[in-house]
Amino acid sequence: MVVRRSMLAQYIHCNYSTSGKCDYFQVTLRKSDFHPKELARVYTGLGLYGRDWDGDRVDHSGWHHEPSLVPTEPYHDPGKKRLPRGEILPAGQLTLDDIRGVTAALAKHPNVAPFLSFRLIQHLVTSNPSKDYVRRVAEVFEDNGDGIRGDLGATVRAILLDPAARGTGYLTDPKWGKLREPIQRLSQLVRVFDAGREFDASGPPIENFEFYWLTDRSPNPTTDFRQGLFRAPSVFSFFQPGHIPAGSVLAEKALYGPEFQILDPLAAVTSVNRLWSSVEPPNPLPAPRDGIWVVDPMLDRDQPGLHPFPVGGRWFQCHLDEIGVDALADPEKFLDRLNLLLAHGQMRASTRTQLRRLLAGEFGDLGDKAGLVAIQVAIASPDVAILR
Amino acid sequence: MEFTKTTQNLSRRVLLQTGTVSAVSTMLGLRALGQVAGAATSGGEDDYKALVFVFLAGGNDSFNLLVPGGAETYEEYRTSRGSLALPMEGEGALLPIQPDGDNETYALHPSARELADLFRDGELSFVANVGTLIEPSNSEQYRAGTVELPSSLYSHNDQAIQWQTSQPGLGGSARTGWAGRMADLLHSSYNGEDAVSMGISVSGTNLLQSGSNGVAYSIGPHGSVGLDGDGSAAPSWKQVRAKALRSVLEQDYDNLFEQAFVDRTRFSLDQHEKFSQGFSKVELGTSFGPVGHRWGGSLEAVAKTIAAHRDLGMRRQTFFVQLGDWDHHNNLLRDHGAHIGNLSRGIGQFWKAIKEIGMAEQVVLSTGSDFGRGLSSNGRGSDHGWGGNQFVVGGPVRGRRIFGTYPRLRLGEGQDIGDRGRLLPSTSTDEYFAELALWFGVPPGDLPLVLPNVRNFFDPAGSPPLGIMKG
Repeated sequence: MVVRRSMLAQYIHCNYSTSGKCDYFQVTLRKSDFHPKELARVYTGLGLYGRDWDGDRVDHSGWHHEPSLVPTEPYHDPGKKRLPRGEILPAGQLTLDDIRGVTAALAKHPNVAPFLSFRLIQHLVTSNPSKDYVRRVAEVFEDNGDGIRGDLGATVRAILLDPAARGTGYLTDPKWGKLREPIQRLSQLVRVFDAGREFDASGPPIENFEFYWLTDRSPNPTTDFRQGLFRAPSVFSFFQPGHIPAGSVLAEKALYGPEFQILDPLAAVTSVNRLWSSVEPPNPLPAPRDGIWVVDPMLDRDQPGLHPFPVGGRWFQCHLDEIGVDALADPEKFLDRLNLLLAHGQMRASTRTQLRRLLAGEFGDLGDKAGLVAIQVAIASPDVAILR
Repeated sequence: MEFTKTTQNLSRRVLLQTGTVSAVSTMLGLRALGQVAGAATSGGEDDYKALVFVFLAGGNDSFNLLVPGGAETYEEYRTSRGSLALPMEGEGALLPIQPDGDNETYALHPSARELADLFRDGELSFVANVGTLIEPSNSEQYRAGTVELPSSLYSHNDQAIQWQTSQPGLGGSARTGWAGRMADLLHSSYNGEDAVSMGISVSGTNLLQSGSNGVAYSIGPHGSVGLDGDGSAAPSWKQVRAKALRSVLEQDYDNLFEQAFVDRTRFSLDQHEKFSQGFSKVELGTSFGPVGHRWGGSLEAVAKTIAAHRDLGMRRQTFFVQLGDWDHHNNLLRDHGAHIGNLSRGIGQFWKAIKEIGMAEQVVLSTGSDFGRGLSSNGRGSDHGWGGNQFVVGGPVRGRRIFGTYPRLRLGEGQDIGDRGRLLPSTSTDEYFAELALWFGVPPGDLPLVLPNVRNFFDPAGSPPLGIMKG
């Protein structure tokens, strides 16, 4: 029988080293206790939805990043599997039963709570949580108060309601905060400026509109941001939790800045250009080809050519009038709105001063583009890019 | 912030090596000063060298790239590889090559036509069965457990990091790569403080070119990128926008994340100003057309940057190019062949471009990968291994050779350490990179600053063990 590994098995194989260490970066297990090949056997028989057993696409009806992997039972290894800490999966189980069994067994490992808590805090609040903060969250993962382990809702609540996240220490702590992921910076604009509303408002609203904007169904997020949803370059995703940005002020203090791994010098500029074009109305509106709008994915794909824009025939844009204030008629109120909508009320006085000068025409005449440019400069500022 | 310190879980060995690195950092200032006089006299306008490092991410199955071609050795290969073995005759036959001064014959993957041509023309050589090692290790020592081994063997991201740091004992705590440490040592004396970075990456962030003094500047297939509108040809409102953003980025930020963010953005804008002027003047006749856009475009951007070196004021440059998707656990024969073809065509075109601009004697391209792969078939592909074969291209390279020791491929013997035919490397990355670094201009006495473990393998004052480079 052909025994194959799925991507998931590879991920586990890759991420569980055999070095015997135990820390927040790897849920590592003692070599004597851990059998990567046994785990790999659990995942045999899984294939991608819409593809045949050779990995070739058989269903061309659309993209298949979303559906779950599909088990093919004749290709599943039916034997008994040895799991860490002496647990056994009995022979003859269906693929999904084996997977449920191994997931339950791995989730019991004592390193899972701090491992997961650390990562979730990094994604939601701050790149360098204190040991105590991680411990408090891990304790909730261990027991949600009702004796249940692994309640993710309770875990996230603990992260967001922790004194470290709710207090005011972050206002003065220079080590607090995180760089927001490019996709989060873009999705903020999509939400604030109601980009689900159509350009000419002639059709019904589109379901899951943000999804279309944020995947590579829209032009080139991978090229401009080094991040296209469901397009991670490897099983290790876009950036590593232990990344320390070389040559930066963060590295001088040995601080993690995971998201900086995809903010290399080139991406630091291309991401700004992309965010800027995302809030500009299309001018002129591109012409449809064969009835659908097309985008040029040349920069993003190894295969040059034209791919259809998936919300074919309809053009969407950010609506800057969501700010609700005229930039030139009432600049201070306009800046108040920018501060609230984009910087969560934390815009620095020095940044506001520069934006005020911009609206006053001190950098040059902008005419009716003053409001647009003020928004663009704000979204490229650290006040908006860094979450504190 | 105590958290980072307490979770490092440093072993004694790691502490010792970290100590070495700190000592290196403090010595660098002195070294760089001492280097100025030497560099100034070591060459005139034409004293230019470029080292291009191509990283094949995912773990290239390189025992299907360079295959033994003798009657007996090929039979061993065929038996060990089973369904993954490539044929010596008929359709899709291997391309025979004959190294100089070697009694053995070899063969290259049928899709590696350009690499075979470069080999036969004496412009390409292989380094056989090279991999991450901390100290010289044979299979008996490996089995007896008497040698210190790299951490997290067979793991993609760990091994990719170790290839780029050449410090397999440090694991994830390594902060600098060997090309970054070369830049710490040589950049200011060869290129000057105001030049663009010595390291240019066409594949974004990498550890290879990260040093204590700075990081690589990254460019795309079309060169560097500046702010939309940051140029005199742009509409005036866009120029105003760029000016206003710069005024925001020039503020001081007490939050370290905010300061790191503005520092990186300003670094990029400043580097673009310097870089774009020289780069934009270059026109190449060589076409990179049929190769995948990102890969071909990346190599084209490297060739153009090399062509622009005088305008850029550069005398030493390193380049990082990553080509991904080499993790062929499945469909190896089909997919690996396509990747080898793409790799080979790109390298062939790149080298044609380098010759077109007359830089063949001043450029060396070398490859690396996470690891080689186990010889045994898993049914449809191969799994993570250790030692693998790499190649070097360039005028300064002694071509048409196979350096190091090509292992016998019979399972259960020699370098095979079991577990589906994983091979213990017979040459370390330190030995491989040392020759590149010495050619690049690292003085032998400073080699341990670039490759901290190199003395475990040879005395830097003596002659290098592989002899990859001419004279």
